[in-house]
Formats: sequence, structure tokens, C-alpha cells
Amino acid sequence: MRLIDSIRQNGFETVSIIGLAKNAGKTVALNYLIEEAENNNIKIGITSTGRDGENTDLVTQTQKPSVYVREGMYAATAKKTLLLSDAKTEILETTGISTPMGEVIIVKVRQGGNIQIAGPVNVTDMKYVAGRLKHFGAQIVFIDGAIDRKAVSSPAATDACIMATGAVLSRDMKKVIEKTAHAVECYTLKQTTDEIKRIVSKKNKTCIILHDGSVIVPEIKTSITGGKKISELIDENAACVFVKGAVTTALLKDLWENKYLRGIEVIIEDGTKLFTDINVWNEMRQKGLKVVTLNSINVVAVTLNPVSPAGYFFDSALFRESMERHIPAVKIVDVVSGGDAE
Amino acid sequence: MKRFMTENTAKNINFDYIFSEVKPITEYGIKKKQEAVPFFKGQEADLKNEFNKIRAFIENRKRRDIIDVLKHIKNIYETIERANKNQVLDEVELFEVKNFLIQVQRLDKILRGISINNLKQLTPLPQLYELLDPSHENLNTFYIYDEYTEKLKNLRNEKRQVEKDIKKLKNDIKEDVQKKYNIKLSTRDEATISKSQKEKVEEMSRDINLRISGENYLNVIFKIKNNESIDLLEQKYEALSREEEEEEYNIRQEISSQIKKYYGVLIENTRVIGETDYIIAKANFAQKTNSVEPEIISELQLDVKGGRNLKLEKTLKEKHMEYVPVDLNLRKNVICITGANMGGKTVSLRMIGQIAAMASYGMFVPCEYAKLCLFDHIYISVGDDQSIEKGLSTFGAEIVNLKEALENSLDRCLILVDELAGGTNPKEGYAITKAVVNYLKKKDCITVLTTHYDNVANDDEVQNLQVAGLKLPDEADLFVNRSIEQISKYMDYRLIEVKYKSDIPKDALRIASIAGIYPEIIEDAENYIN
Repeated sequence: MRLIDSIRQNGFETVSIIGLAKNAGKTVALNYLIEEAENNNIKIGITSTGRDGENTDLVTQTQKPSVYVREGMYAATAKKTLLLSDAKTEILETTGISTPMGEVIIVKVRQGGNIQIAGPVNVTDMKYVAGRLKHFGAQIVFIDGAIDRKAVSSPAATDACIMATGAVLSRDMKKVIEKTAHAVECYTLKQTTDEIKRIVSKKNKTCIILHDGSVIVPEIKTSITGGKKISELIDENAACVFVKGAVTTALLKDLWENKYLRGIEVIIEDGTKLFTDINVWNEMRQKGLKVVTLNSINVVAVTLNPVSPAGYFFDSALFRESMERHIPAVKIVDVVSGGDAE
Repeated sequence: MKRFMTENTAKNINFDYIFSEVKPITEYGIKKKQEAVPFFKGQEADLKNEFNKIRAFIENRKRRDIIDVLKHIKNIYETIERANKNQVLDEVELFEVKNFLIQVQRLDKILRGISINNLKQLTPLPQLYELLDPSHENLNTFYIYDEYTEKLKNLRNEKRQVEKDIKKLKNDIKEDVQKKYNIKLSTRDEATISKSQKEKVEEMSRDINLRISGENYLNVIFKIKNNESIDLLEQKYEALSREEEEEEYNIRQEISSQIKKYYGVLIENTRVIGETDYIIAKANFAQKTNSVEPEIISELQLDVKGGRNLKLEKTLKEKHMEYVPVDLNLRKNVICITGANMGGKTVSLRMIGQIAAMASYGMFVPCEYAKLCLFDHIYISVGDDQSIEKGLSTFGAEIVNLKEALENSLDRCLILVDELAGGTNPKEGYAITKAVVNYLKKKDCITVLTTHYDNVANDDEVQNLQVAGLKLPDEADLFVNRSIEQISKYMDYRLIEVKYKSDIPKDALRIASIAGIYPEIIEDAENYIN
């Protein structure tokens, strides 16, 4: 099945595209989806978290594929970038949402061309904009997610995500596969029960839930630095522990010191909050670390870019086959060389 | 310019809170509210006119529809200012002007349907709208439509054709290459060929339609190369795009200059919207707070039936307590409110100021009925005055206030004083109070004082209102559960007019007793009184 069809079949209406690194092929993936949508006569809307679609990548100075929008598509972008684009657009709505590049404007493309996309920055505005794009007629809304704004791909804002990965992550294909598999594992971690979710969302703070249903809230400034304090409060009465915000290697190590942790679940907000060293993570998982999320993220596909801007590239067939072997549950698409298998 | 009241006064009568609760929807309405000035003595007819408009909106069910339109109106000040300065507006700005015109038309239609007297009328600009909707789509979107000029239409058609030609040429080459070498090219027109296929790599390297875009020890990536005719077409496309861009600019310039022509009308429309919005905000507030239209008279008078202090009412409501409305009939120049502690004297004082200020600002007032005149100034001096924070003592602060009030007492003032000189020695305090009363009773002002001094109100020219006071059903019950909170339950807050009563009721000891002060102290105090 083609990628666009699996998105439609799952009923996903808002899909974010997240790159595992700069130049992982996020924009290539987006352009690929735009073409797929056109070929299948599906009306789509696009927006992004912050600015994207500049001609050269600011970090690596490489030529970046620009977002080429087609007639009939919808887009939401900041006014300044809109006026710079060479696509001709009909203005549908001025949203009142401001960004450093001006107010976010919702448009319909009347004449295809390259467009710069710089959408809203926070989750609430993103939800509003995605809703408006759908209102005007977009059947699927794609959000081009900036690497440092993973939060927008959180389940609060989108139905699913597409993960873009590629040769740029490492010269060693094995490492690329390992990193990608780890990211998919984190995003798709099992979701906790509704009961626990209810308790946690009421506190909305890092806390320890005891067997009798009572909750202890440790007095810490942030979870990142408060690992030891949290650990001190975990004893045989603890049923699970919820960590709000970023979960780092150091924090997990602090928690792991406590022998009672082995029997209980660590709950995190969602997979985008995990920032852990793969080796440490894998070791702890093997020893019995249990991590669940408040919200699991649907990973609808992993897209591959076998070419690195540094000049090297992988054998695309081998790259795809290996990736498919290691991540069997998710659709793998090489957006650069071959596209979807028919 | 007369100063109607100081910021401190506005705060002390809670007018700042009340005014902040009046919420216009559009930027124009907010601006109108910010520029609002009170109606002064002599402007009674204008004020009546304003009240008529508020009442008309309260009574009209179309108010909801108007609010709906107002919510769609955005601020286009900057845009029309830019047009007026001969700037060329961009597409987003033209979109905003078009939407403004649409909303003006919608609003005008509703307003004409309900015809409210003396409300300024909008001027829809169908000619200008037409210019922004050349294809008669009747949508509230904007695009530089093909219909603007024949030239634009032709350019775009030509551009489309060239684009098609390029696509076809590219596709033909792609298909040829795929067929020739039996390979599949990617979406980026690339193919990766293994170096082990030496002959194929060599052959492809020589192909004029291909170039090498990447290479390593295993593979070579080939990419389709543009041929001369594609290059020519792409150049042509670029040239057409530039021409289109220029034509669009000319069109925007023309529309912008037309917008400039209507600059004055557009600005006037924003003013009318602002005024309508502000009046509706006041109507909404009146309805929300159960306020009524006051009767404005030119004689010095202030009557209120069932007056409420809105801020206190809100605070009590949050605590599930009831506010007891108060009636007032101020018919002399100086009025003394006397009576029990905790009897709501200060609250009534604030309420009087609140109602007078609201009426002056053209708002309905929170009571069942009100009849009053317009004042040039409002003063209030209450214990918790902010000036105390500035380092002045209680007495110092009230003297500063009083001085300003007295200096302006040639104008028509409303002077509200809580416990004048209450913080100084009783002998001098009484003397000052009496002297101030004597001075003010000859002025064209209403002065309301609360006082504990006997004999201040003992004067034919001074009206004396007394708090009805504590009404204890069964005192025994009260003393079982001593608490200051229950005072409010048994307090009768009504103000009753009394005459020639030199003694002021002494409820202080009873209240102290209910609150739980040791009986021996209360008894001792009673001995002193006797």
C-alpha cells in the first residue's frame, strides 16, 4: 500500500514529519507526500513549526529541496515568507497568530511554485491552524516539524507522525538503523492506563503514585536535576512514578539506583521527552526498566534518505531492507531513490 | 480640561474595576473606550441621547448578530494609512481591506434594519468592493485574479503552457532513459548504478541526457540533465514569471490608489464601528449587571432605589453571601450618615460615587431606579486611601483630599468623606467637621459624610441618614456562638432619615460583645458610659 493510502486508511488527519537530524530528508519526504497526494487526488494542507523551506540549509550550507506546492493545495505560513514565495496564492484567512516572520496566513494555492513555510510555534496555535486547514478543505494536514520543536508532534497536536532518517546520522549504516529503531521504540512506548492518566493529569507534576492511590509530589525545581530526590521517595509502597518533562540519561541512572524501581513503571509524558543514551537505555531495559507513556505516538512511516550532504551514500536497497528487518512494525519508504513499493 | 476624578478616587469607588468590565470587541471600540470622557453639567441632552442608544441595543434582539459581525472586524488602520501615503499594498493587506468592506456592508444592513436614532451611519463602499472582487465570486478571500487585466490572464496562460511543455519534455527523456538502460529513475530523476556493471556505467556516462551526481567505490548516481530546449523553456518561464510579477505589482498599485481615494470614508467607518461597538459593550454590561437607565436632571439631587456596589456584590457572591441593596434620597447639600459600626456606611459611600461616576460616563447604573444630576468632580476620602502608602498619615491624607475638594467647590462636586478627622482628637475632629459642613452647605455640591460625632447632623440644613442597625431576634442565641461573621446576618443596612436626634446609637459595645470580648471589659465600658 502507498504511504498516502495508509495515512488515509488509518484515518489520520494531522500528520507531523520529524527529522531525526538536519538533512535527514524531511523536506524530501514532504515533497514526496505532496506528489503522492496530487497523483491520488487528495487535497492536503501543509504548515510547519517555525521557518522551513529556505534555499540553503543554514547549518550545513547544502542545497535544500524547497517545498514545491501544487495548485489546489492549502498552506499556512507567516506573511513575510508568503510574500517571498513564487507560488501564487489566494488568501483565505489571517489567523491573528503572530510569529517572528509575521502573522500566520492561510492560503489556497492557485498557481504552483516554491513556497516558504513558517507556521505557528506552539501547540495550541498549531491545533487551531490544522483545524482551519481542514475546515477549508484539506483532507490531510502535514506539519513539517523542526528538529528542536518535537513537542508539536506530540499527540496533543497531531494524530500521527512520519519519521525522517538518513545517511546523515552516521557513516555507519548500522548506527543509523540503531538510532532510528531507538527513536521508534521511544515514540511507540506502551500507553498507561486511563486511571493512572487521570491521577497524573490532575497533579500535572512529577509525582509518585502509591499502591493505595495516594500521590507524593517531590519538592524539586525540575525533573532533570531532581533525580536523587525522586529516588529517595520511592519505596515498597510506590506503584509507579511519573516524570514530567525531559527524561535524561542522568535522571534514569539516578532512579535506577533505587532497587524498588525494578518492580514499578516509570511514566513519561510521551516519547519525544526521552533524551537518553542508547546503550544505557538498552542495558536498563534488558535489566527490567519499565517505561510507559501518557500518550503513545503513532509512527505511520519511517522515510529514508540514503544520501548524506557530506558526500557519502548508502546502497538504497540494502539500507531499506536492513531497516525493514529491524523495524518490522512500521512502513519504511525510501523517498529519495525509489519511493513506495507498488 | 477639568479633572473629573483622580485615579485614587476611581479606585476607591471601584470605578476602575467597573470600567475594565466594559469590553468592546474591535480595536476601534477599544480605542473609543480609551478616549471616553465623562458628560458634564450642561450636557444632559447628549447623555440622554447616549442612554437612548444603549437602551435601543438592549431591547433589540439583533444585538447578537451585530456582535457576530464585530468579531470578524480586524484592525486595518495601518493598512489604510499606508495606502494614504501612496504605498503599494500587498495581497494580505488587500485581503484585509476586502474583508473590512464585507463586514461594513453586513453591519450596515443590520443597523439600517433596526434604525437606532442618532446612531452615526456607516458608508458601505460597493465600488471599492467590486474592485477587490473582479470575478464576482462573492467570497471573502482574495487573489490577484486573472480578470484584472487581459495581459495578466495571457501571461498566466502562457506560463502554464510552458510549464506543461517542460514537464512533457522531461518526461519524454525520462522514459527514453528508463527504456534504454532498463532502469527506474527516482522522484528526483536519479538512478544508482553499481560499478560492477562496467559497460552500462560507461555507456550512461556518455549519454548527453545524463550526468553523474554522486559516486563512491561501489556505485555511481546518474541524474537527468536538461537539454538545450528545456534550458530555453526554463529561461522563458523565468521571463514570464518576472513579467507576471510586474503586472501584479501594477494591479496592486492601481487598487491601492483607489483605496487612497476612499481614505476619509474608511476612517469614518472605523469611527462608527468603534462607537457602535462601545455602546454595545455598555449595553452588554448593563444587562449583565441588572443596571437601569438613570434619570438625569439639572437640579442638585441624587436619589437611588436599591443601589448596589458592584464590586462588593461580586465578592460576596463568590462567598455565597447576599448583597443588601440600599435606598438613598439625598435632598440637601450636606448629608450625614450616622449609625452602627459594620452598618455599611463606607460601602454606601462608595456606592454613591460609583453610581454618579457611571452615569457621568454614559453607563446604566446598578440599582432599581436612579435620579441624579451630573457632577463636574467627584471626590472620595476613605480610610484605606492609597496616599497612606505614600507616607502620609490617615489624617494627612484626608486633609490633602479635602483641600482639593474644597478648592473646586465652586463647580458642582460630589464630595464623599468617610469619618472626617476620625483619626485625630475628638475635640478638634468635631470642630473641623462642623466647620467643613457649615462651609459646604452653602455650595452647589452634594457632600456626604459618615461620622460618629454627635451633633454634626443636628442642623436644619443637614440631612441625617441613619443605619437602621442591629436587629437581634434573640440575643441569647447569638452569645452561644460568638462570632463577628454573624453580625451581617442581623444588620439592617437600610438608611433611615432621622431629625433632631442628637444621640447617635451606640452599637459598638454590643458588636464587641457578640464578637466575644470578655464580659468584664464590656461591663467596665458600660460603667464609663453611664
